[in-house]
Amino acid sequence: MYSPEFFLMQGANGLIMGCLYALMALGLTLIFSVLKVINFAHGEFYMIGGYTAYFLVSVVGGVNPLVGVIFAMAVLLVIGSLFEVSFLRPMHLGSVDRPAEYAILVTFGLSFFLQNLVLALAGPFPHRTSSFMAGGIKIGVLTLSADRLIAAGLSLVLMAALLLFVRKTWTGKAMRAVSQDKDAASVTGINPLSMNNIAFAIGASLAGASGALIAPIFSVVPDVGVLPSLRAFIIVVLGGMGSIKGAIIGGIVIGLVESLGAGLIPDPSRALAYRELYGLIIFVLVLLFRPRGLFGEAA
Amino acid sequence: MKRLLVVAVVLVGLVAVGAMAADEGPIKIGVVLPMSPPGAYASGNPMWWAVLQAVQEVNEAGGIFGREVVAILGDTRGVPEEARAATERLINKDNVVGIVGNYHSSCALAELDLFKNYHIPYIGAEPWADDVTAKGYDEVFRISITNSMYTDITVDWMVAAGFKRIATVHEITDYALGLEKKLTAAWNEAGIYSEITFTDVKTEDFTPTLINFSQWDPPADMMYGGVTGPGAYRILKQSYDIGLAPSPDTVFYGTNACLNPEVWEVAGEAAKYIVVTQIGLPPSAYTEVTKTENAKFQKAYGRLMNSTVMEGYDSFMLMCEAIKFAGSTHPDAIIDALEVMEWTGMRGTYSFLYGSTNPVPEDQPDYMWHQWPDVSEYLLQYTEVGQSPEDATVVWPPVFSELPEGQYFIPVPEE
Repeated sequence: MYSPEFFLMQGANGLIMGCLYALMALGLTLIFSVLKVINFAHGEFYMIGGYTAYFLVSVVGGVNPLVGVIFAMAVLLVIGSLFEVSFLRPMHLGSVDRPAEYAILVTFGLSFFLQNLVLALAGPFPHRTSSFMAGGIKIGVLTLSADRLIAAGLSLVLMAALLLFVRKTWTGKAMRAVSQDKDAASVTGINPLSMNNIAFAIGASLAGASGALIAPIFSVVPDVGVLPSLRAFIIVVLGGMGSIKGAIIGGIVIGLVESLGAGLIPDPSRALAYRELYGLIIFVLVLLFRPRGLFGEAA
Repeated sequence: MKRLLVVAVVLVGLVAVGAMAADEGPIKIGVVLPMSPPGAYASGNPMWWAVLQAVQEVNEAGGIFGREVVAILGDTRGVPEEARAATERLINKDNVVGIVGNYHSSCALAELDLFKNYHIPYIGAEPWADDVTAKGYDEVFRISITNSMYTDITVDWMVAAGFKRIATVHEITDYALGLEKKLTAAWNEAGIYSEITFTDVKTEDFTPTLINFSQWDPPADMMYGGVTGPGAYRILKQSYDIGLAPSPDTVFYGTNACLNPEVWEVAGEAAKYIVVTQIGLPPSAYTEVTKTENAKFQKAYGRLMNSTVMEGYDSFMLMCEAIKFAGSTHPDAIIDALEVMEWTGMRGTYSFLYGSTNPVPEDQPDYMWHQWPDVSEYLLQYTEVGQSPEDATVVWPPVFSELPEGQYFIPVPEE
């Protein structure tokens, strides 16, 4: 039979992974809520975040990994902003005939481009950023990886910061206004184009932060973002498209379900193979009974 | 009738012109490798580098029949349908005279009927699935190890080491699923209890399953990390982080990805005391070609070649040597040459024992058809952080082992 320690270990692992999933999904949902664009290059922003932190911390050296995370966020902020201005803004200016298809194609294109660019520049071998802190941290009967705990803690801090930003600052409120009604927001003096740019840049930056936080735990390779971005899409739909609260809770739910599902499934041979399936079952159930997701608003 | 004759003459003329062009231009050899995601591009790219070295050396030596040799790359991306498309293109658009390569068994298996239908000689570099040669196609040869050959040697070591309980994670690929069947059968026969978890090759977090294994009482004797690519390092690190293996109770056995220096960068001290299989000759038995090419590779990549890179070089060179031996680029001549010739490359002297003139006898497995039978394999164990595979301790087979007689691995010391 399973011991209480077993449940604690699986639960703690699920919570930690859930926080990291949530941070990744948060960027995606923020972009969707304001720009109404599904960013298919989100996984590649995550990958570039990991490589950027690796470059600063392990190649340049002499830098604390936390600085690597901040640097990665800053780089992705700039990349996100430039990409939005160059490729997504024409869509919002009405100079693109079929904006929905255009957004899919241009973000897909960026995804392939970035994967292959990084493969050419950084090479095919995996890299890992130096640890935030080597070894484990003992909490009660559990000994948890210090890197994972720190990454999860920083994810929580970043999520809290984003919530404060969107709820308490003028820019955050303006972004929410644009996400609710772009035309009404512009009547009140808000420039929707600027809000689009800020939202996309912050979304990309959050993906970069996720990648930089994960880099000391899993290592980075050019296609490291494929699976996390797929998971982020599931979390965003599960939590409700465009819902920040939904992305956070959805991420934690998926983290817990994956960990406990893999630990408790009666046929251990399928435990990891079906790991994504556990989250998908919850996803399908939520969509069946609540099609707009856990915290999504009715159309 | 007259019109038909004219059409026939024109067609014959076109074929003749095509044949003359094929005989006069460069000799084109196709190379199918995973060069980009989602395939094992970390193996495909260095293998392609090794092929280009071979091309350069052949051309510097005057080419073949005075003609330049050209390698044409087909990126399979590790996806069977893309591998088929790349192979079709190499055969029908680029008019290659032979094809070498492949890392993923699934890709090689998807291409097999193309080699047969178009009658194109193929030398498999690294597809391990038995079925690649077991189908008995005239055109298909292989220089890598097979799942069955690998199983025989590694299970012999596990039995000798006295392992009774093995926790296993296996990736879901054609290669690994075939290997898992062989391993499970061999473990059952040897009375070894094993529990297997399958996983996607891209899995990031193996911790939930490793936590399950860590609850075993008594603990597992061995943790078999049957994952290739970056996953090989992740599972090792995560296993170590939760105290499962390597540990005083449990040996960690890793795939040959753990021979790459990234094992130290990603897994760090977790890799100390792991056991890994090296396919190929031990350093003491390196050929002159091995030493020369290894030096070049070290200059380019800052590391020693692993067996897959050697196979990239050797498979291409072997195709070139077969064309020279045949005195022709005609497929029948190349196939006949491969069946009878011998050539010494980076991993030993290649020859194919069983083929059309010497069919596979009933007491030999089907996969021995056009299979290089002398693939050498040995197991090594790291004893220092950052150690090179060349400096690691050879633990199996007994003929190469550096351990005292009766010892089969170095246990992790109790803290």
